[in-house]
Amino acid sequence: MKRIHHMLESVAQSLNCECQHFQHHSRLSVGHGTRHQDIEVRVVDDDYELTSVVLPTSDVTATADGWRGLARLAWQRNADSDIVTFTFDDRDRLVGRVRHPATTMDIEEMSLYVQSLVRECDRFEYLLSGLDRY
Amino acid sequence: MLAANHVAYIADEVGMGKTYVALGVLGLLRHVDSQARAMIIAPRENIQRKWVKELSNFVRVNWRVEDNRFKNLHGAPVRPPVVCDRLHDLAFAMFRHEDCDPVLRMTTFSVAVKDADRRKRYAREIREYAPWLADQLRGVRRPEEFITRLGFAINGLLPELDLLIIDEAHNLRHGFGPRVSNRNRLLAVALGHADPGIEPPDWYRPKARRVLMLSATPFECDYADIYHQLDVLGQRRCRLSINESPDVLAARDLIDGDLSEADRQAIVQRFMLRRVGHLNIAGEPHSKNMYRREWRRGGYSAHDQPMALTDERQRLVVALIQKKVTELLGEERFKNCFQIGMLSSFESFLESLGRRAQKAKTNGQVEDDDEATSAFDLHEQTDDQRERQGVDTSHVEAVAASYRDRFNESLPHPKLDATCSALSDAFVTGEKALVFVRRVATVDELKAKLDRRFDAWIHDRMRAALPSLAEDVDRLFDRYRREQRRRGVGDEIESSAHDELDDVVEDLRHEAYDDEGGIDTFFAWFFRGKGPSKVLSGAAMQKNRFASASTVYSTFFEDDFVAGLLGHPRNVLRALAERLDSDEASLVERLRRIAFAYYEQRTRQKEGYPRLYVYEAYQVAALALLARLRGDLAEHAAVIIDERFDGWGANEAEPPARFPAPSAGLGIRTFVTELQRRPRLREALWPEETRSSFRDAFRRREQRRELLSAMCRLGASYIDLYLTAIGQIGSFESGRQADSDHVSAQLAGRFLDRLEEQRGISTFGAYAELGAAASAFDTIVAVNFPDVPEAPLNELPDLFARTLQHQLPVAGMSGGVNKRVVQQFRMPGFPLVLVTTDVLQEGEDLHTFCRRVIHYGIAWTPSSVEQRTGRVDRIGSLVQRELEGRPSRPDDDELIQVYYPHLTDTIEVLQVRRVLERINKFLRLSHRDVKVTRSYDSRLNVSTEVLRELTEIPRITELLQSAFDDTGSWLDGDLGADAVYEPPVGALEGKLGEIWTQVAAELMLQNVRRRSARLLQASALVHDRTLVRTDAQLPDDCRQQAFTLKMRSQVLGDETLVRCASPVGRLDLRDANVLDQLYDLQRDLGDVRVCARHDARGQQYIVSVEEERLFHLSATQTSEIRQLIERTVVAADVIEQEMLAVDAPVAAIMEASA
Repeated sequence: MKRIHHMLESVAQSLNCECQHFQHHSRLSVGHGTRHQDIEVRVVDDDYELTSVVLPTSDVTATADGWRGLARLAWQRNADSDIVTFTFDDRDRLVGRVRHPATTMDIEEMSLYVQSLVRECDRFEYLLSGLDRY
Repeated sequence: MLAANHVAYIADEVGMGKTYVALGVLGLLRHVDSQARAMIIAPRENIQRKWVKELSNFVRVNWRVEDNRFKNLHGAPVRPPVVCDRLHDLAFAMFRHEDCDPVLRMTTFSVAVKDADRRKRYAREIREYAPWLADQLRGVRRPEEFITRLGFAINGLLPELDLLIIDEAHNLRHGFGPRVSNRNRLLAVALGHADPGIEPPDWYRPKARRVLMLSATPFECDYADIYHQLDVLGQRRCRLSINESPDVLAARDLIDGDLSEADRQAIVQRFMLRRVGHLNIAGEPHSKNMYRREWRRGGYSAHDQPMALTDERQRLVVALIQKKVTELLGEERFKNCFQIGMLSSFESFLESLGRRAQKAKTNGQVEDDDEATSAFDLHEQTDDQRERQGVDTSHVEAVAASYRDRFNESLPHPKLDATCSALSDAFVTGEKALVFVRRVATVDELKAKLDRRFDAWIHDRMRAALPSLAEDVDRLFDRYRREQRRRGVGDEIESSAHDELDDVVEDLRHEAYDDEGGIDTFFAWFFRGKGPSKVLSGAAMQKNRFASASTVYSTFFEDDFVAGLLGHPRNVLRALAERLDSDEASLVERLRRIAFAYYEQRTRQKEGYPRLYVYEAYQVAALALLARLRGDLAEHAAVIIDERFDGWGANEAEPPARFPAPSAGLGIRTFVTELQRRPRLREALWPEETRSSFRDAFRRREQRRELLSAMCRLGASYIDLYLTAIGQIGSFESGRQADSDHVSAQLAGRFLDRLEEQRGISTFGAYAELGAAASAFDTIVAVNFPDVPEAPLNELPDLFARTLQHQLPVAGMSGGVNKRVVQQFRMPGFPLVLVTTDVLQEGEDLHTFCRRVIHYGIAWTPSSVEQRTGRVDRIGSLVQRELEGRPSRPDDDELIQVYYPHLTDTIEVLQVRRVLERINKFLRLSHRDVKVTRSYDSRLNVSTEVLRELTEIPRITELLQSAFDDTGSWLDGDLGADAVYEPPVGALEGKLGEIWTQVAAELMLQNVRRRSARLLQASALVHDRTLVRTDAQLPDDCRQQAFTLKMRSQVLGDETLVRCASPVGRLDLRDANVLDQLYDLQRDLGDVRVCARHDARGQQYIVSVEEERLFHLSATQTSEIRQLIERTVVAADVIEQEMLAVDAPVAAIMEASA
């Protein structure tokens, strides 16, 4: 964990954002213009997994049709964007995610992944809800 | 300028490449900020498509470095341009992929909201993606408020734009205000106008950080026009400095009436740049006013003389119509006023009311309530419905109907008839003409009259060319006229009407021949489509002889490559045997075996042996043998096989005894081989290519040959070829000519003789058409066939034929742009005259072979007049090519000819005079050191105008110099060390190659293919959700899954990525069960990246699994890429197995994955 903490501290410094560490994950809170976006980073198997929430469970599961429409849209968005995967997590939230093998990731890559995730998820959250909850 | 002031205006004269300058600005912006967002708004659909094309061309050709910022690693824009025709498309683009470059058109914002159903549709479309935005539209009934709230919703959808490019921005000159058009209102609010009229939502904000406007005519007669454009685009408060100096001017002062013209010009100079083009003629610079020859006094025959009216009946008609119109305008409701260009009496007497509406609606082009209700183009000139339909229309139609009843013929129209007479010289000289009209009905009427003139011309020409068949020619024309009367001119030929054509050959070489002919001209009836029955028509000869693969004419336009390589010996077979050090008998046997192998692969036809394929077979067989030698000859032969015969590998097969002998394909005499024996003619029509590489030279030579062939078969040149053939046969009877080899060779010789004869004369014919195309080959390719330089040679015939078929001697256009006609007009030959409304006013280049513009229906605004004239006055125009750098002064006829036809004794004089005055003012405001007078109104008062002295409006003759060309200190500064950013693409390619080699050594891969150093393909074997390794035993029940590994550019940044993509197949994601299953699988597989692309054809989605990694020279490891492949390929295979229960054939998968 030391390595990832060190890496995230560096990224937080370069992006001028807040970084918190918890038992199983770390959280970056990144400002993006007048908006912001939170990112959770954890180690899954041998990968670093960066996740940012786009829509909460209540929005996703409000209607069956709405949920399916979101899935179609997320998969279409996956086809046209880079790096970030839009998917639904185990709590049925719509999230953006990046995974990368832990052993080969450096600070530069981490920073780029964080920025990509912030930008993609914040924009998608805005488009879908008009809000800035995450 | 953009960085400091946030606005810039490129106001270069028409045709100087504003689009490319703007694309350069976009490229520079992406160079300094690769995440910058941009949007482009073009005025109309054809220009919108042109932007997409030009963006791709610019990036491919002009942006030299694959920098991952503007140009991606595959030569295309990093951010794909996405055409948004409607607001719904924009919404979809924003949700799917807002980091594209949306290309919209102004009519995207022309919405009709008077109808409740339409309002509901817009609300539904917004709700489909963003329910929270649709709240804006709930319960809103007032159209104006609905537009504003729809603007809020779009404002909510749009990201903040770093650059907004507005093409032909002058179209927004009416600004933003209470009575402004729906389009301007919606656009302004969508961009975050500061004062939208009602309380905006809290997220509403300005969206365009920088605005780049383009127009050659940014204002009409007042700089305030520019302020109004800025206002629509959210920039009315912009403050203008030079390189951030404290000396700041406010754009708002442009509407300050107290400010002097010079002070207002100084404001505009802060953000406008205008380049004025000059031609260097006789050692002197000439601006456009100097190399354009204007016919301001209305006539056609003698320069600057009025239109002559000698026929008494015509004079009476003019007097009658003028009396009617004057009486009408004198009525209280009109107060002697009318809208310039919007009187039917100056245009056409045909009825057209409602046609435009019908046509536009049929084409699905009009959303706006207003556009469909005008009988004239440029309808926004007035809000008055009566004026839009022409205040005199009903009166003129009543007179025309009365005349028809009384005299049983159409009412003469002196102006139309004079125009028709003037233009019909095009059939003799080949000089093209572009005619702009205002009234839609005029397009049809003028075209119909010119079609009759063409018929008369071609009748005479056929009689003259075939004197012994003159009576037969007359009979053909009688039949044609009967057919016209029977069907009604302009009706389509029924496709079933030709069952009596018994000798149709079905083995057409090119799929592109879907021309059904027509009845509007003799050319359409006789030379195109299927042609009349029981006659060897031009159409029948085309279809059954030249376009067939079987007849002796099938190789008429082919070259003998083998003879060419051997230096055109008398006996090609003997020369080949000597070269191959073989005896002729053995050579024949070898050739037959190789040729038959090719033939079998080329066609399934077992009988008859189509001549074209046999010719190809022997050419490729001989080339294959030559390629086995050493030296240049062998290399050249290999290049020809590679380029012309798709790299065919020389197999052998046992030929049947009846397979034709080598003489059917070697040593043949065709039009092309015979042309090579006439050096002077060849130089004019098919000049030798001088390229350093044989491949390049061969490709160019073939490109030229294919164009020559297509023009000879499909255009005006075909008339000469056909007449030569009929002269040789001596009859129009079908089936009279013998199909022997020498007939084709003889025709080639006679046709070449005819071309030689035409060489010395200046009249229009095949020689003139083909020679002009040959001399401007590069220009033609650039403007019409940009794919040709890279296209495989075997695709060229279809590529050229698609554009060159359906030719019309005279073309008309209104309601929408016919792309093919536009492309044909950019070439020599048909159409010689193009009659159009404002649909071709902007965006389309028509300059390559035309120097005549006729403002038959005059536009009210100088910008419209200038835009119309500008269609033929552009970089690389016919006149520029002829005059630039010429040491002597040109004849007047060689200049660009601009006509303003009108009759002297009518009130049309007043409107022409008014417009010419305004043009002068526009020129003066745009250029240095000229004074300005008067302001004008588009409504003209006859009673006051006639009292003004009827003096001629003088032409401005001095050299024009831009008032806005001072770049001042804007260009100061250094480019700096980071002026060029170049990723280490070569090294990355090498690294990817190394990784691929290692991966291929570890994993059991099949069908491995390196499509390029950046695109690799293979299929992996999958067993039990893992990839089979080379060191493991091959399981019996493994599956295969294709994938690609592609080096690509990051869209949001300038990094290089490696993407692994593995296709699943087509899934119906509208089916809830399918979607649920895919969702579960995605989770089960560990959140793999499922991608769906909508397949419009099948209403399904093409699904794949795709993931990528950053690709760095030092950081990226082989294990990472292997893991990426494993994760992607296994996931795709599992989804395929679970959802489609198939293991798709590798070939199909590879195609899809490519």
